[in-house]
Amino acid sequence: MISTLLDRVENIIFGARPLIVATFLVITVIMGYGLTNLRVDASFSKHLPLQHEYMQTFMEYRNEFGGANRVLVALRARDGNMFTAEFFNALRQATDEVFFLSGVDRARVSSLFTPNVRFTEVVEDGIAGGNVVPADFQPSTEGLEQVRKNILKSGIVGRLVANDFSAAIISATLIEVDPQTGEKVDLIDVGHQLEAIRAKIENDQIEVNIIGYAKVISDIADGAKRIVLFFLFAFFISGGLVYLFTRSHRVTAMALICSLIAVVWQLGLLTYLGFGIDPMGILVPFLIFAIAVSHGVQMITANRAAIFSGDDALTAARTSFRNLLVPGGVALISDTIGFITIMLIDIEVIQQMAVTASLGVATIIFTNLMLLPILLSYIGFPKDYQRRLRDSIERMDRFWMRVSKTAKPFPAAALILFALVLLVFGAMRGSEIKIGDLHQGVPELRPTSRYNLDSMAITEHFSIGVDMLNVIVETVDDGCIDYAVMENIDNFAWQLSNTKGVQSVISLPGIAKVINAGWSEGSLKWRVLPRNRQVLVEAVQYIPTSSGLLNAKCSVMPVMIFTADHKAETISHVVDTIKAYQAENGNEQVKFRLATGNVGVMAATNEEVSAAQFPILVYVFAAIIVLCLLTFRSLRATLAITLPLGLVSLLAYALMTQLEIGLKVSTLPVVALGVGVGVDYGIYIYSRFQAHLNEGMTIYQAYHETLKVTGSGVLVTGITLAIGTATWIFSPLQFQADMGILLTFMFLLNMLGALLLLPALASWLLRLGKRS
Amino acid sequence: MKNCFSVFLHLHLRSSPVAGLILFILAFSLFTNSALAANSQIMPLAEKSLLLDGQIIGEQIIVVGERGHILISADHGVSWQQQEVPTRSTLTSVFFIDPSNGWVAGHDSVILQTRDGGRHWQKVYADPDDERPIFDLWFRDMTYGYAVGAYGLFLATEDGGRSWNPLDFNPATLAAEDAGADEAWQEDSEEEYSGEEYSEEEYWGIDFHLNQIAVMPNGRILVSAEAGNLYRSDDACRSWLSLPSPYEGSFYGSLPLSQASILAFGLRGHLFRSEDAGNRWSEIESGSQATLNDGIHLHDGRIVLAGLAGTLLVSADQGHSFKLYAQADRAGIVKVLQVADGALILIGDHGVKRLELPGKEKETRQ
Repeated sequence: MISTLLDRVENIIFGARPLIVATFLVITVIMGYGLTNLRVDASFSKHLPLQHEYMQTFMEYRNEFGGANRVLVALRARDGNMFTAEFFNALRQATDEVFFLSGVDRARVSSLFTPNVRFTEVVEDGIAGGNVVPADFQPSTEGLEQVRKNILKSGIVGRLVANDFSAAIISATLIEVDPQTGEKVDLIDVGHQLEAIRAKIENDQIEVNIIGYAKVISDIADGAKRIVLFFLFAFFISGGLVYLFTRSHRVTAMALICSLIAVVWQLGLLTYLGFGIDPMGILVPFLIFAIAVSHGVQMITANRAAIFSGDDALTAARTSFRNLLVPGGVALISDTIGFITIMLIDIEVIQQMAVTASLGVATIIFTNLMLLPILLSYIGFPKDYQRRLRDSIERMDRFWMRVSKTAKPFPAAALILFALVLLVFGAMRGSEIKIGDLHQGVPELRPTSRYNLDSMAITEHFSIGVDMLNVIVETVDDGCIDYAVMENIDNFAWQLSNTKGVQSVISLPGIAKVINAGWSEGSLKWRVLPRNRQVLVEAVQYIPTSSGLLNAKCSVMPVMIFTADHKAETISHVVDTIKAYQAENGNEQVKFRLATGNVGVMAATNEEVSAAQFPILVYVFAAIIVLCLLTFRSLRATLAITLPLGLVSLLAYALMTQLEIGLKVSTLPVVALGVGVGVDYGIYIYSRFQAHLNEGMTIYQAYHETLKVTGSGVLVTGITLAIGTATWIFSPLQFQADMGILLTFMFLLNMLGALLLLPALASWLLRLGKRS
Repeated sequence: MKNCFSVFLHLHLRSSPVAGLILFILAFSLFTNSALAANSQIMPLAEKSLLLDGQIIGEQIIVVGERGHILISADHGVSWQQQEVPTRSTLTSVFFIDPSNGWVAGHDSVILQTRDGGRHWQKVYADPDDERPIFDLWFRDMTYGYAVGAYGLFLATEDGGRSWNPLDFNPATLAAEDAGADEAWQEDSEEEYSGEEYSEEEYWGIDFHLNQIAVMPNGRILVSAEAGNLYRSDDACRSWLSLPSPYEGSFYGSLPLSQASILAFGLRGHLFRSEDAGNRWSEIESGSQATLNDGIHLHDGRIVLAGLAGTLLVSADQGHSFKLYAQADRAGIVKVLQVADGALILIGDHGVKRLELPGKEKETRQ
């Protein structure tokens, strides 16, 4: 029945070849037009697991306490002494430059040169104060000495001035919408402007360090652009490999063109769906291209075998179309399912990636299973093509003869035993996998990237933490002048300060105590929360809402918790402590809600990843098992195909443990992708293997014949895919490099699994089956 | 600067029985779940929390501070053990009469007592409604003890700390001295709170913060107080004399050097010396603008004064001149001790830390 259906499909398609080619052309032009509107979309909220409890707190308060979008520009004297005329001139210039950046909230720019940076000192009759850098400042010895004294009185050491007086910071807050243009502030552009400031200021005396979310985003976007280079590289490598395999530049060109069409469609669909391309999703077209090439290779292999057996171009094309439509279709559908399961991670950027990737894979069914054989049917092969093919096939045959021996009982048993050892190893190491980011710095960027080095330099010289978790404390109106409320928050801050992994805590009660002491000549013995409401008013009323520590109604007071790092263990321990405190001390009046800040986002993301990791694997494997059962109607076939995939997935986890790559948003999809793509090999190999067995061959013969045709294709495919993804290892973006390593590993090992372990397993399963 | 607002509020409430009643009622509803009732929590960072006083007694050092923290070290301040204490109020002073018997006191007018060298503490006194923290404690013997604090708080016990009563604190030259100080103080309040006024009649006596008690070798007692006030009692606290003040800013402490010589120090690095038990003073240039809080005699005869912003002043000439050693962390120091091995124990903003001061020889050569 299937064959009659196939006949009909084949006849329809090959009967309307010009029409189909024309249709593809039109669609490609339309998609290509869409491609011109492609934009890079690096919105922040897309990366958040918005449904997560913590992120609902985050969204609720992001406008009120949105001060997180801060940019710090640090100027550092390379000789360690900032009190020079050159340094102060540079600092003044840099302050002006930052002040006039588009998107900067000018009222909140602060540096030594801004009038909002003041010092106060206790004098006999009250408090005296002034600007740290006086209006009439001259960078003379006396002027610099005066500024040094004022700095000591101002309490900005550690925040705006380095603890060792080697550097000074200009701090700016970015706004969402530029009031001048009315447009959304382009963070990538702000990042580039900051880079321009660095270029202007930095010299052999002064180093400039810049950190802030805008800079991260723009660095990621710049890094993502590098992917075009990788794409070109992968394109030529794949082309070369395909040419070596086919010995025909026309066939090679066809395969590459069809694969490119798949990419154009995928990107076109992206824009028509209203998505932009995200640095995280920029790898998808890449992956689509690699998968398309690998299916193209299968098509070419089948075509080549037909040509070799003496068919003309059209017949060969029809035969290969007919032979591959089912296995190729099944393989691509399982890829698609692999991609779709990633949607289980409730983060918009990942879900967009899942949608676009599965659409892209689906287009390969059309471009490489349909268009490619049609195009191949038009190719007239040169006379010596058969001979060239025969040469290359015979050269490979000796190799395949040797490989085929693995299907014999003894080598097969040895191979299975080896796989078992690997399984035990994989299970042991793989179970040690850590969730989240395991290293310092912004995880998207390389530890050695300029940004992360800047970040290290700033945290080293200033008392500034870059890993922050904000707990939003919801209380009653005027809660900040209620002693019971403030005392509770103060106690919370103290508990958290004493929690492992917490570096420091900033809270409103903590500041209020210092101010209260300030009203009493700065005497430390007065550093308490006043019980008296009116005195408490005095202690909090001068704290501006811009401090991010309270809202206008004084009913919400975030507590800022700086953590030592953002390792998942650290985060989960801190989060557990906060939850325990809320359970014990939270009440109607005071509620401690998780969480904002970058660590808050990480906490939510980690929990999301940890919740999704198991279901994703279950669904991917369930889908593959169902598809294999449907296609081959054999439990043995299903086992032979899925067991190696399972082993490789475990080994991938072990590799992640080994390389200290955490399970996170960027790496979690990799296993699903790897399994989805890896199953292709198994399906192609097993379908031909089964066909040969049905022809009455022995296991060994069937395996040998399978390897000769499909095996070569799988080998080329595996290497093509692996080289394509291996180029990502050189990406300036850490997550792309991580994905590259893992995908390369999975593609190569899945290929070996399909070529070696699958037949070994199949041979034993079949033998056992016969015996019983 | 003066805590003008609190002063005003305090006076105002004192003058109004209704307000007092309201506060009394509020106290019951507000303070049920407060720092006062709760026990201190044992925390790893207690030794880095705000600590405010300390004493070396016998083989151990006891320090006290915020959140009811009491820490004991038996190894010259290298390691500390936090004690369970029946309060979370900020403790500002500690006094041990012998290695077993001691008292601590602090905010909410809380006073605790121990009989076993600081392992167990009982609350003997607390009066949070009074809103006057205790700043220093001194016991003449096992029976008679004194506590001074904010707004002229002066408590005395005659039963070893079991009960405490206000002491009649009326220094002899009060009228003359107070008039001057009062005027200055009123100018202050006009500047800051021009709308608020209080009448001269409501003024009820000594209202300055009493910051520290010091005892001279001959038994005379000195109290350093706010707004340039220094008091002395020559008859075991029965009567008091307001000493002529060389300074209008606050004094945070005094250090008796001999039967007659005294150093008095306070706000903005001001340092004075008297050779006649406080009747006449001369200023010593301290070289620092930070408030000086405490002073001690070192074993080698040098004198060390400590204050805010990590200030340490060292004198090798019996307090005639001082050399500034600013601590790099600039953390405020409230109390300084010297342990048997010679190291200093700095107590303050940073918690408690040991500091090896350069030797005397080395310093005189510098």
